[in-house]
Amino acid sequence: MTEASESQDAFARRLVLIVAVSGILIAIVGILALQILSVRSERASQEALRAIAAQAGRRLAAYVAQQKQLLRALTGAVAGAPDQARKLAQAPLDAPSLGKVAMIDAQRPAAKLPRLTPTQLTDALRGKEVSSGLYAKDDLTLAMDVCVPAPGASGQAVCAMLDLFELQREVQRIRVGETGFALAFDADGRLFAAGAGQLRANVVSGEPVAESVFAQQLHAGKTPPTRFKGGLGEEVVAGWERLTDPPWAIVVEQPTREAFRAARLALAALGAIALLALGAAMGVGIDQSRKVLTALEIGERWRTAGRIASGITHDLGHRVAILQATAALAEANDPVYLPLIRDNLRDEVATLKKFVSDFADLSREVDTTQFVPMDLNAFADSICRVAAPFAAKAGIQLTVKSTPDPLWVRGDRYLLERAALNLLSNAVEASPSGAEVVVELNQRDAVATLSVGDRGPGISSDRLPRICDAFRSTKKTGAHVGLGLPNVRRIIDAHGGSVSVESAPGRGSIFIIVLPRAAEPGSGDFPPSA
Amino acid sequence: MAAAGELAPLSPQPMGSYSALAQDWVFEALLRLEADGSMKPALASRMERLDRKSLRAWIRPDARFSDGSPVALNNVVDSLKSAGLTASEQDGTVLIESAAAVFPETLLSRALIYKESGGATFGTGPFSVIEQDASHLVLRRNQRLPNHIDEVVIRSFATPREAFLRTLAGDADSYPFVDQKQVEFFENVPRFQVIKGPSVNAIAVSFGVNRIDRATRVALLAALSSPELARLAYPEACSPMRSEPVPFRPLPPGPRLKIAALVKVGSTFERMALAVQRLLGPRAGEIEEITYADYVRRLETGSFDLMIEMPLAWPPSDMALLWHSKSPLGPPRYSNPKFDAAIDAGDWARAMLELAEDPPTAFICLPERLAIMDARVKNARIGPYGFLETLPDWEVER
Repeated sequence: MTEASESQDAFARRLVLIVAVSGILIAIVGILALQILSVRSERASQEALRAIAAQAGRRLAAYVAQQKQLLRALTGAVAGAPDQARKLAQAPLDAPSLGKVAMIDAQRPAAKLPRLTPTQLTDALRGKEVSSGLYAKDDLTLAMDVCVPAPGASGQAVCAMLDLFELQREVQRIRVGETGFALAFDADGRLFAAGAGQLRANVVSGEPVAESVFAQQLHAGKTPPTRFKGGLGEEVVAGWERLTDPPWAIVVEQPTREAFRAARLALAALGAIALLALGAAMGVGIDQSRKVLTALEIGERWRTAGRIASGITHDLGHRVAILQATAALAEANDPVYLPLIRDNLRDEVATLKKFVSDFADLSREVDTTQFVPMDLNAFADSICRVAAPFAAKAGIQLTVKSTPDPLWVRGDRYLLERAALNLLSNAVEASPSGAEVVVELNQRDAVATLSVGDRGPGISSDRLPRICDAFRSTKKTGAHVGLGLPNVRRIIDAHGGSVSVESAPGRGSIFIIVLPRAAEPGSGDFPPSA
Repeated sequence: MAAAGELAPLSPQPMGSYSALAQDWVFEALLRLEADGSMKPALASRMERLDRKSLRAWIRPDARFSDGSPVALNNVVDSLKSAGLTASEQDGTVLIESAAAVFPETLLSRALIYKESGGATFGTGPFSVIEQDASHLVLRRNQRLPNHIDEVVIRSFATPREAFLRTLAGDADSYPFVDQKQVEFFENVPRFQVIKGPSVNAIAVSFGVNRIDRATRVALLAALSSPELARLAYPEACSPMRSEPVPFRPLPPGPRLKIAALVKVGSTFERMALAVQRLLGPRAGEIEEITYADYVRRLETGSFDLMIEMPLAWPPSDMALLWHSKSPLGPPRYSNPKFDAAIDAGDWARAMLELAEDPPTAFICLPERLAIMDARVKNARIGPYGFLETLPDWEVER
């Protein structure tokens, strides 16, 4: 894998990460938005139901107040009439809500109004308005007994059985949506009117429903829940209203499946649209990233090709110029120039051979299946022997500092030799005549190192980071195309190792090859002990 | 079907329990009363009136009892005799005579034909009794009919209140005999429908003929003919009786007339009693609250001034016949030789005039009969005579 492709992969990964993170952020924001909408929707439903309950409560309270007012008016109308008792008895003909009306006093208790307690009757005769609790009549509809003071007649009161049939009908007719309904409870939590037909048996029987306990809570000053499993066994959202006179509670409830149906549909649609948009955005982003990466890759290839062409043009141009000058010397046909012509040709042939060799090295792929065990100590001795003539010619002393024990690695011997000789050749060329180039071997944990140190001019710090880039030779001779060090890095990387440089101007350079250690052949001891 | 009280064993005789509902499904009569008051052959294939007191009937040749046996003439004769009629076989027909001076054909619509065999009673109707005891009665259709009711279970509960409750709670598919207010409990309950039909009994104010003189009764009839009375007693609905307008006659002074009524708080009887009390003004006495036993006793002894009741009022011939001194419809409660003579002569118009001249009662209106029925039944209705007599013809959505 090349450096450029690695860079592109990293870039691609970053792009995908950015798009993914953006998508997740959008999704989180979307989910939060949906949640907020959902909560707001539920609150809106509860508010609407509470408003209906409040309205129903006002109507119920007004109904009872009207009946009491009617009874007061009736009492006033017949006061003092000789047939007062009969007129009162006939009052239900004109006011069907009054089931039974009678004047009571100490001698005539309210025999037909059994739900009034003795205390209430006493209070009524003392001029206080009293009401009984709710009870079921023989026809199964509900009633309550009320007494109002008889005007101008101390110790008397007019009592009536207040028929709540109309009131029950009023509650029954409250509909919310398709299946929402209202329930009405007395102070004891007894259901006395139900919009849900299935709960009306409880109205007659007096058995509590699921909401009864909440109605009692409301009367106790506590806040009843607005979302619960209702009397029909279904989860409902509800709005409550508490009445003080009479002390009743109204709840208007709607199954959540219906109450939130529209909101849920809208949220689902919104969610789906957001997901689609997110998916589309990610798709487009990834596609565009791929296109950009492809464009960058193509550009990089062209730039690489340009650098190769530039290097080849520069180096071959230099060689061609020398050969042209040598040819001009040959055309002079002067024997004096023969040695020079011979030296030039020899040098140029050597340079071109190295040029071709560098390109050949580049074309050789590293095949890990061809790796063999190598003792780096023997290897170092071998390459120094190969380089010895060249070093001697330059007046350089080659020194090998081996490890006490064999230092085993696995690799392509030919390519590793090419890499090591390249470093050795560079060191010799960089060193002044009479200097020493040291090849030193070391082991550190699971790695083996081979370093080549010279006493040359060193490399400035600004050039060190790109010292292994292709076509960036720092040599002034013009005989190098800058493929040597990139090739060294390519080879060592392919062996699972690395190449580094320690250098400072005027203090020489040390190139260090790090390779993974291998077990000694036949020992099976791996990882090798330090 | 929810019912209240103990269920009497089903028989073709008049019954006082909810079992009577099943009589029309198990037994047939020779004739069937139609909604318009006309008579149509049922078990009889043909009828011929011989004179006012006698008829001849031909029996449907394919008629069979539910045990599979054909209907023999002697079965018909025996059945009619047990219904108080005189009957005999004659030339392959049945000759039927009334002990009374007059013999309306409607009597034949109530005389159910049956056969007793092995301690069981069989009818020719579409249903047979499968099981019965005091708490339940199971009837099954003899021959299954697609999309029709195959089986009826009448389940009885201790009280009407419990029967009503259990129906409301979904333990029954039907509950007959509900009133207008109780119907409201079933509003918007999808599994039920309310079925209606006019009553054959009218709400009426009967006069104690032994206590109130004729002139006063005529004046009372005029006073109580006001449509206001029906409106006050039945704010919801009550069909007025078809009758000739009664000319106003002042109510003569006299003692206050007590008004007896089967009063329950809030009941229509009580409202009617109050309305009568208001309408009669100073002549109206106190309202007497009576029990059903009280009511029967007072009818037998005539010991009442005014009584709120619901006498038979449909078909019109039966309404008139009820007041005959030898009425086949019940114990005698009124005697008017002129009226009897008109009925005996078959002069119905004159009979009604005689009744108005010496009135025993003032019919006020025909209230509605109501029942709760499963919503799947498509053409359920009440009447025309019995309560749910057309049940075998009802279609059911599957």
